[in-house]
Amino acid sequence: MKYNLFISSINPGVGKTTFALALALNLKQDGLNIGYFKPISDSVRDKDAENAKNLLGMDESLEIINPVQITPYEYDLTPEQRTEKIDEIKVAFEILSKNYDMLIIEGCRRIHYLSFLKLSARDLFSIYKAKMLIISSGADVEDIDRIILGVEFLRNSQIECIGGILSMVPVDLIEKYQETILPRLEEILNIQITGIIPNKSTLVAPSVKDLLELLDGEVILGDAYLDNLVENYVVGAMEPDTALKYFRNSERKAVITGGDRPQIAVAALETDTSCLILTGSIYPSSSILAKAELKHVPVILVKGDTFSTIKKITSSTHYGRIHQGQTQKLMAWRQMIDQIDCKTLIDKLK
Amino acid sequence: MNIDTLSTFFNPKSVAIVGASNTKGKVGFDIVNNLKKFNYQGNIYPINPKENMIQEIKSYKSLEECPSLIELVFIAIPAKHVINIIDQMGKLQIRFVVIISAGFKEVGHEGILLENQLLISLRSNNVRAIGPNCLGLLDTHTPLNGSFASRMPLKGNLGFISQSGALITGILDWSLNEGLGFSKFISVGNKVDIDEVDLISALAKDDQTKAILAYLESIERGRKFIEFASSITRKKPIIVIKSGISKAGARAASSHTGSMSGTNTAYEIAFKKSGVIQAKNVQELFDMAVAISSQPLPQSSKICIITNAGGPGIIATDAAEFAGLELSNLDHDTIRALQQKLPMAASTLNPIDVLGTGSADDYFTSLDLVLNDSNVSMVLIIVTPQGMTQPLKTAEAIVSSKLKYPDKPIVSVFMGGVDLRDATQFLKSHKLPCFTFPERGINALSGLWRYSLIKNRPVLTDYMQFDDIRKDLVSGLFKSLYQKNRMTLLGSEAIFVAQAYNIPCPSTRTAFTVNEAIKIAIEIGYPVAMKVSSPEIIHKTDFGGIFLNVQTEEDLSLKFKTLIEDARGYFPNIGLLGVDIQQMSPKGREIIIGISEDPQFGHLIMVGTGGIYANYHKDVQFGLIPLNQSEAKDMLLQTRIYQIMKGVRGEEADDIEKTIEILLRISNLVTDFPEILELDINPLFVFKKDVSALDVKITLSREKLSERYSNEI
Repeated sequence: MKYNLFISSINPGVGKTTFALALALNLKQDGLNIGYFKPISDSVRDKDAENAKNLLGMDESLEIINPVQITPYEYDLTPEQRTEKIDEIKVAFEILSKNYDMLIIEGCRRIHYLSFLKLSARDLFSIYKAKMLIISSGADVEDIDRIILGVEFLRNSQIECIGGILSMVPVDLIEKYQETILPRLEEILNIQITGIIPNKSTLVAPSVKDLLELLDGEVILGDAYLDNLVENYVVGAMEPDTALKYFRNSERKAVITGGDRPQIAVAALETDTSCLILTGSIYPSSSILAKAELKHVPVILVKGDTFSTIKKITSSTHYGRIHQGQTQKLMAWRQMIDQIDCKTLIDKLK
Repeated sequence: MNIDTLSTFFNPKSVAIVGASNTKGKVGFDIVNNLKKFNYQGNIYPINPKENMIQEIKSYKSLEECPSLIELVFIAIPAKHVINIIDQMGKLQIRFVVIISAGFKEVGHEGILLENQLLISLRSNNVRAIGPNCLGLLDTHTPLNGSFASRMPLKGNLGFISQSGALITGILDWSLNEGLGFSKFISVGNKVDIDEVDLISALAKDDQTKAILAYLESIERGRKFIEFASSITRKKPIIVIKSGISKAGARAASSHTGSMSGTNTAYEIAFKKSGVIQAKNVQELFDMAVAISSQPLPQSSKICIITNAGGPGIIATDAAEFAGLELSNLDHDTIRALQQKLPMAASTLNPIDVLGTGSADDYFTSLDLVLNDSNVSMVLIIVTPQGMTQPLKTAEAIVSSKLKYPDKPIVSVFMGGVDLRDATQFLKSHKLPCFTFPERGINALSGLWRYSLIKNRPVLTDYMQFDDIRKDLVSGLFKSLYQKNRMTLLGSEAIFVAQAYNIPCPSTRTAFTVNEAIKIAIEIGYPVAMKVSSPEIIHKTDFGGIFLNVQTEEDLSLKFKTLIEDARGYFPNIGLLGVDIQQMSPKGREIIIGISEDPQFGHLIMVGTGGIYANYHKDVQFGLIPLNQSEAKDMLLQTRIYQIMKGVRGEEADDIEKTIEILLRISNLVTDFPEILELDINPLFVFKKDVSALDVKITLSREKLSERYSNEI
């Protein structure tokens, strides 16, 4: 392969990392010797390198896969430090290039991240011997505006952008988008929109495991089902006889209710529930647990009350990251990518 | 699953008791003791690896060692060893077991797993089981006391199934005091295999059981229950008491059984639909049972009351009216004869008051005349202990009247304790119901009448299948929703479904942009209604999500943007959001029709007062799908709104017939597409002629959708 593929996104939380990993896995399955490289990450807690290493079975150390971390607060980086970091990236890149036929390189945050420090994707692109693929959400006009802004950012930079992925598009509107938005975009940007990824929550939802970490809860049942995806959150504060109706309207939901409300718990278990979160540290009866076991629904106990639990969930900007073994979500993404014309994409890299 | 084979449980030729014991206080001791004490005639094989004799009966170390064929096994050993025994039974081809042992589903997680394994073992070894965690079973005719209840009921014709073992012991003890006999007592325990559905079927075929009584906390196989009970109740009465019907009770039951007890309505309707009598309380259950056990069914609801005290007579009259019974208008001949033979001051109109001075003869005379009257189908006799009362003689008079008129039920109320004890005993020993208070006597007679109505109810099998419907259209839509993974329909989609079943609806389509809205409005024609449309929004009016009577394109544009902005304000993360553009409709009577799937019994349908305050009117009547013509009609006629629909204050009636037809079409739709979980039409406008469904909501079950369509994709 002559070129590597650099994947950048216009806004965070659109599935860039998951897309990158899923694409890598698909290509690896097709026989390509693929490696993953994340030159810069924005946090010391970034798990992307570790995940990639495990998923792709890479031998290199984490320091090579993700050599540099620059948080948004390092605005006083000196030119010397800058040079140092660039050198680290170059070294890591050399090693990986030797070991793999093609690298999928993931950008950090947004396409222009660290422009202020002259360390953005645009500034360093010459190191990567790559062509760019942009992924962006495309749910409304503002999203599309940002894509145009992003692409403008690349103008006159000699970065070749070979495709774009629109993600989080409402399923029912995909056809409409293909008719009205895509042609205009391709006309304005001169970029081929390679694929549309629908807003299927299986692709972006957090798992019960993610939730568990966020809430610092205790799993009292259902360790085997923590991979369940959570698309909606419903508080069980209604009258018992209306609970069933409300719960039926919501799928793959986490139901948050007091442990002393058995009828709410039972109604939740009767419907499509991904997990039951019981507040107030009150243990439910054994029959409720029996039913949860039967329905493969994990039951989590949290110490706080319902209000504080909700607050934790809504105030966090957690995105559903792929953990190793989170096969359900990864499978969904890989299936999605199968439907995208990756062949043409890869051909452009030869 | 041949139900007939359950008879071995009640009449086995030989039984084995695993866990038999010589130690008093152990369950294994009680079972053997009870079998012996209450004269079980078959072979008893106690099984205990450590003993040679149990309570003077030769015992064996294992089932294998038993010399001859065992038909029924009782197990009273710790839960974790039970499966082992089942496996042994399989090898020895013993087919029936009563598992008394506790320690299964009821103790929690581990118990559940164990019970699941138990079920697998039962199936693979081809063994039928009652229990686990049950009291056992008793049969008075065999006789067989295969339980750890310390007494044996009197022989009788009532079969009692209970989901509470403890209740049985209480009732058993009480029945001995009352002189009430039973054919069978069965404690169902955790219902790992045999449940109440199997047992009511078994008792239905049992000649020794005349009436089936049950205490139930939950029914899992709801649809099967309705199917079987519907045909059983044509031959034998089933009377149940269902617990967990109050709010607090429901909560307790949910916690206890882990099942949906909030669907109390579903139970009520299911019982009604299958002809099962639901008793309000335990007392009512047995008052009715006592009468059904020994009395003939009345031919009509007409009752005659004979009393020797005015007050109790009136109390009984009140109770009779509330119970749906009718006080007979006696024949003139009867009245004249009564006037002749009774003292002057006696009342000869119903209730007949023979006065405090009433003698046994007075009672006898009245009874004779009244039982002969064709306007009287049943008699309630009240006796209070006055100075001149002859209780025992009166009782004798009642008994001889009964012999003379065997076809009319007679119930006595002997209001007293000490002075009337002998007479009461006399009546009971002659199988004539006798109670202490008038209300209970009325309970008994009304139970007879209620069953009489049930037994003679017409067999209606005319479930409508409309032929002007387009199943393919609905199927196509559901399939595409399955592919899009969306379970809640947009307003326009739900209306499309209704229209496919020929339910009149105004034209409706969903717009996602202003341009689309304008295009649709032109096609449909102004004026239009605009309603925010999203699978995630249930109550549109709560935030002003509706505009009516939109006349111009300019207005449409403005209102479209308003609706979308407002919706996004309330639901910032909303996914799919559009606006339904609908043809304006003239206003009619607002009715609500709803479908809700009950986990146990299938789809419930409801009809009643509609509109935005529907939830507060709470004027709804329920039924269970499938609905036939007369069920649909009954439902509608029982609503309060029907009273207005039929035409009041000089107004013409609404199109009742069409409304009933819509109920039947919905019933048809849901029968054809059981993947519909919830459906709401609110409002259905009913006009003087015709109807129109303005707003339809439908939610589907992903599980059932995937069952139907995953193969096709």
